[in-house]
Amino acid sequence: MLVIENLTKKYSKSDVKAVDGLSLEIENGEIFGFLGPNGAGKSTTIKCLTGILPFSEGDIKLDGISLLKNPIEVKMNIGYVPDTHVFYERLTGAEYINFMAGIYKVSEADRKNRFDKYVSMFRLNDAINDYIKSYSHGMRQKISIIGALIHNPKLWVLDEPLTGLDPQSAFDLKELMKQHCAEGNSVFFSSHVLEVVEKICDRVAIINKGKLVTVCNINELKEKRKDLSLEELFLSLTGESQ
Amino acid sequence: MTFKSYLSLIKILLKNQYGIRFGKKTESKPLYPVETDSKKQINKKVLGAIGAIVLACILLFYIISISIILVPTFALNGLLSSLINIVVSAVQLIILFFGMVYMLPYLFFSKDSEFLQSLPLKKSVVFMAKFTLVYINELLISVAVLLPFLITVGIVSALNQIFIPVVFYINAIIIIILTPVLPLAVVSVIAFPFIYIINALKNKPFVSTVISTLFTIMFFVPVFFLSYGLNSAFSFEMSGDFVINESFKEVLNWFHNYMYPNNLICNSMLLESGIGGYFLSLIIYLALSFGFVFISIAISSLLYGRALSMNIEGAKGKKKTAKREKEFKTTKNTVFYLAKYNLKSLFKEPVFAMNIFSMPIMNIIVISFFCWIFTQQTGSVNQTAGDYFDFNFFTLGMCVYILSLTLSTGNYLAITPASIEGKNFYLIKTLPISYGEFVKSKLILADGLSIITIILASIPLWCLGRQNILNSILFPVVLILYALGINRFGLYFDFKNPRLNWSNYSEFKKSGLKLWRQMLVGIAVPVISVICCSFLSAVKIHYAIKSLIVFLPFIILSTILFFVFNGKVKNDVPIFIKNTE
Ligand SMILES: Nc1ncnc2c1ncn2[C@@H]1O[C@H](COP(=O)(O)OP(=O)(O)O)[C@@H](O)[C@H]1O
Ligand SMILES: [Mg+2]
Repeated sequence: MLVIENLTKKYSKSDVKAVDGLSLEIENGEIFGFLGPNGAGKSTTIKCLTGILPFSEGDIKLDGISLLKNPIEVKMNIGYVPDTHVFYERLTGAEYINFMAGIYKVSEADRKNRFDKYVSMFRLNDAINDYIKSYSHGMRQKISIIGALIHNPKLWVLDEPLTGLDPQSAFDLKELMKQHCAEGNSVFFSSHVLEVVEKICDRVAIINKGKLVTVCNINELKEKRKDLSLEELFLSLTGESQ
Repeated sequence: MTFKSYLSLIKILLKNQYGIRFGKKTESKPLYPVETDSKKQINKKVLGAIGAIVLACILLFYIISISIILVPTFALNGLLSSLINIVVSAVQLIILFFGMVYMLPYLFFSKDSEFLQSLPLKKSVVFMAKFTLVYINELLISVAVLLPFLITVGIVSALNQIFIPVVFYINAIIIIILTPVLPLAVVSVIAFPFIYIINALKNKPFVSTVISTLFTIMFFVPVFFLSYGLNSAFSFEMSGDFVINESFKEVLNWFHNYMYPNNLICNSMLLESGIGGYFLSLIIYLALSFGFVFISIAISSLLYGRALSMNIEGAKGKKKTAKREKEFKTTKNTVFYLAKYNLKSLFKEPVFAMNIFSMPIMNIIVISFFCWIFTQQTGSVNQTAGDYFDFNFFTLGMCVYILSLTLSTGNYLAITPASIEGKNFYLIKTLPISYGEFVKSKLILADGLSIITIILASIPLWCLGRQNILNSILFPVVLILYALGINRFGLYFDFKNPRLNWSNYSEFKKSGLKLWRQMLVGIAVPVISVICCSFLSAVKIHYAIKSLIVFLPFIILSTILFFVFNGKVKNDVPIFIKNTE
């Protein structure tokens, strides 16, 4: 599905590499967790692979198509939920979702089905025709999620998606991730909370200071952490326990 | 398919900007009926619509009355095409100004770049959609001014038996459509150095303040000298008749001859060089205009790509709040320290900085222009009763109108002193300062900007406006009084009900600022005054009485506002701050 090869990104205004030689491979139908402390380079990686940031070295391929060579085709198959939501505030939720469906060229029938399904799932029926301006943080997050899923993307990318969601919505979102994968798609999401990742991921990558620390499946992770507390495991893996 | 995306992007941007909803066609049929209008919103819309209609009427009134006064005289002197050229060029100047203030941020600093970049759209499509939107905005200005003006020219000419060919109306449409093209090209060219400078200075508030001040002066100096030069060119002897003086004609002709490409289309619309000349000028005009379109698109799209990456990579959350806390020390002069700090942080946001600078600059330009255009007729007051029109006095009224309007509605530091803080506001509440000092620092900034603007704007009136001593003194004094009153009024209501839930400029604009009180009062008084003035210009009474009538509404209002709200600001506003949640 997704192959990241030796991704290196240095921001023009900084001298350190925010992401340094990162290589990852994500299979069809798996939920992949991207774990790391604040400032580790998670958002930077995600912005590179969604085509927002240009990068200096490496390549990113989705189903063999290179993001560098064919950005639009790749983006067409990605659904992205950013960590901060910039919206056109004077649109209604429904207008925003319709706009996204149009841009991703979703057929009328699919659009209607998915719209109904997700809107009622997130209990947005009452608010969907209000201006986004009036939405709370959680509602914005939900609208952003629906906008990212309306074209049923092969790869669903989420940046710290669980922050700010109420427990019920967080549960719904996790179910949605599982469901999306069950249909043969993949989910790639970042988090700085080990617990969340442990519960729903198939595999996990841990990143610190732009460098990949380890990639393992969830059982190996549990093995490694055995008697260690979450924090201790995290610190020992990222090499900051000393 | 690319074109489809382009269209849906334009649609969404327009909806977002104007709340325009297009007739729903099959392709983008909404799945749920879009019913966004609750009762409240309808009320708001009605109020907004009434406001817009009133403003439009005022604008129409001016455009029509000015053309009624000017058209016959200019036409008789064979200067009709020059007149049209001047008006078209003036519109271009306005568009240029708006372009600098609104187009640059919209195209190159907008916060939606990251979102748009994540969509499967070509960069060029996104750019063209945004560029089209900028053009549409500028076209609105062009239509709003030139359409009524050109129609009035047609009608007034017909009434005065001045020949207007049919092609006039064809050319009128072409002019309206293509007028924004030249300023667009100029803005694109200027934008190049401008953006680099702004970006380089983003985090150096002191240097950027200095540079922006230099920019302001650079802008101001040529206007000033131009005004001076024009003034001496027109110090013609009193001629008793309503004629256009020779030196004025010379300058007009000079301007008209060099003001490409407007002169081509203006000449050809009156068939000044026959049918053959008509087509030749038209073709050259069109060619030049498309050249400008090409230049604008080429340069801005080049810039767009660079600004985009600067924008996205530079978009890292500015550690503004944290820095503010660290840098803050209580000093003896807390009030001034706060004011200084506040100003610094405002200059870090290019749009706020531009807004602050645009206030004096715009007034200087507009007032110089008014003084220049209206005082041309100074000596030509017709002696017969009924034809009397005191252009000097009319000039004064227009200048008072423009300046008072910007003072009451354009001073961000006065009408949104609390809201402009955004989320930082809560941080200020944690600082060890008294809220009274904080309010004082806000007042100093608001009054400071107003007073500087008034003084700078008085200079062209003094130099060019041909006012008597009484008016020259009353003008700044009364307006300063007015500013002091209206600033306290605006400050009071913004602190009473601040909108703090924003962290960048586009959110700020959309944060639902409640400004209707300030707008209502701030527009009503200038309008009353300017209507008085328009009538009084045609009446022969003692000049001191006239001046009093024009300034009286301001004196009364500002006295009331000052005394009512000065106390309230001192006593109530600190409590508002305390209670802000
Ligand atoms: N726009 C930017 N300009 C310069 N450096 C940045 C920018 N954004 C992030 N960084 C730096 O890159 C590193 C990784 O940041 P980020 O990817 O946001 O981390 P995470 O999402 O894992 O918390 C950090 O050191 C951060 O300071
Ligand atoms: Mg992050």
